[in-house]
Amino acid sequence: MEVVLVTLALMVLGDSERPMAALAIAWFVVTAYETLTVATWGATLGKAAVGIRVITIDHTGTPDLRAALKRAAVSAALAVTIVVGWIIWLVSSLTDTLGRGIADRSADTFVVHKAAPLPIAARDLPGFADGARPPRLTPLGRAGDLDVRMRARLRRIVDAPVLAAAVGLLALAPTLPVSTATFVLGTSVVWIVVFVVDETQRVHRRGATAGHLMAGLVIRSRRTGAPPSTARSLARAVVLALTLYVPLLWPVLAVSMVMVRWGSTGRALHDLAGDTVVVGDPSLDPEAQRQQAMRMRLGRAV
Amino acid sequence: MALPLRDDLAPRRFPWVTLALFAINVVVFLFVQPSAFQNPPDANDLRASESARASQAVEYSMRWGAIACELRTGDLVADRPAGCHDDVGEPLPRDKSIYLALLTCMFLHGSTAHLAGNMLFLWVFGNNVEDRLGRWRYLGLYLVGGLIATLGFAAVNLHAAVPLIGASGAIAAVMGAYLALFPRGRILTAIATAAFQVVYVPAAVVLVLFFVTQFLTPDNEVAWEAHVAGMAAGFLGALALSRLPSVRRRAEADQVDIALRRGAHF
Repeated sequence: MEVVLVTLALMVLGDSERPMAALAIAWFVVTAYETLTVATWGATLGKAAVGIRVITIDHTGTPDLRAALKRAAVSAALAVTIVVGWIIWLVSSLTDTLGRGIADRSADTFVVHKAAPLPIAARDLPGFADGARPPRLTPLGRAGDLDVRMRARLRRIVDAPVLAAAVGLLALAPTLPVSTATFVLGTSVVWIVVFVVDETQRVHRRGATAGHLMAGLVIRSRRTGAPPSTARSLARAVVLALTLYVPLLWPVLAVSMVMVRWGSTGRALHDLAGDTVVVGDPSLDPEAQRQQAMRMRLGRAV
Repeated sequence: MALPLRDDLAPRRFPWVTLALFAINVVVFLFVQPSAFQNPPDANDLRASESARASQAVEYSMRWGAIACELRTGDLVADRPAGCHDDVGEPLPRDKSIYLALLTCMFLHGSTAHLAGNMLFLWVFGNNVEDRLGRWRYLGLYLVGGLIATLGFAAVNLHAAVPLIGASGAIAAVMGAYLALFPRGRILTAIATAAFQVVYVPAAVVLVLFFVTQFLTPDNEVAWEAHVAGMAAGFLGALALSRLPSVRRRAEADQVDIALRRGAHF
């Protein structure tokens, strides 16, 4: 449907000298189509045909114009960005526990089966998520999910002034009069050393980083159930730093991500190195753990 | 290189002015500016149509872009005023309004990358500043900031005959305002120097770094003087505006919102 509309619009309005303008026309047409259909019927023609519909979290009825527009604008931008946009769409919906891609996340919407009980409140989403995918339990508690752990990782320097300062100084490093190779190697090594020292200390002392605490998660030794020893924390930090910050090892990072997403206890390679497991914070009750994880997942963590 | 992707403060009102500025810049670039800006002519292609497209783009930016030595002398570059480095291309427009160009130059962009970078910064920083200041004050800050940025560039490069185009100065003013209003905000930033990573970085770190790097890495293609002037103007302007009673009330309401989010089971 979108393909037909875009082709027609480009035949009428296109101009071979303006490739970017053609992309914008395609984006506009797809956005308008998705906005109007979703705001009136709650589904595009394709979605209606396979029996799914779009709802807004915490609202009844079909999405309002604003939510429909926001969702359509993002999803159309991904759709017209050939290959790159499609990969982003696929990865973002595969890594999310609720299966929401970034279009749904930005508009606070959710694609559900036509017969799903409506409406869905954000408060009930943890239960909805558990229904869609049973929680993975370990002897130390509930295993942390991939999307929550990735979001916790984004927040890791929130209360780490040393790391924030290191990031700042590294961003200034391009002004140094050294060759590109020296520069890339040097800044990478400096950052990895600073990161490993900071991560080891935090994980050993508190058994969590700032991001983990915001997400209601802790890192525990699998044997003792306490925060891991210094040596184990160090081993874990080294594996984590190498897979995260050495681009050559990103395929290994992808293996870690698959292990967290689909493994039975959600332990990544760095968890194997440290003999650790990332579980819900035992000082919180199970419902609070679930709510805090969901808050992180919805981008509402504070 | 650090690229902001988003921040963690959700505005409470829909950012209409930011969206409108965004749309104007994009539409002007895609549909109004000559096609050579988005689809650079091939220098090895000797067809007349290609060179016509190239000179059309030069003429366009000379007509609608702000030119320092025109602002200083009040004469068009085409009239060869004294003390102008005229190493720019042909043809030169003869019927140009020098002062209208101060306004139009901030809605033009030189290339797709230039437009994309500016719009990204506008989108990340604009919505919160608009929410806090109010629509009209925000629009005023954007336009006046852009004007001061252009004049700042012209004041440093009195003899330059190159046209200045781009929303960068106005957007630097918005960034300065963000630094004044939300120094504790957190910006999700892609750090692309080495050890590539995406993390939330304190806004003060991102914005102060942006300001400092302007001095450290001067680039002939980038009007860094305009960035510095715009950012300083936006910072001071927002500091002054934040003393207004209505802006203060909004700041207090934001504090209450954050406290509610922290304590409430959403």
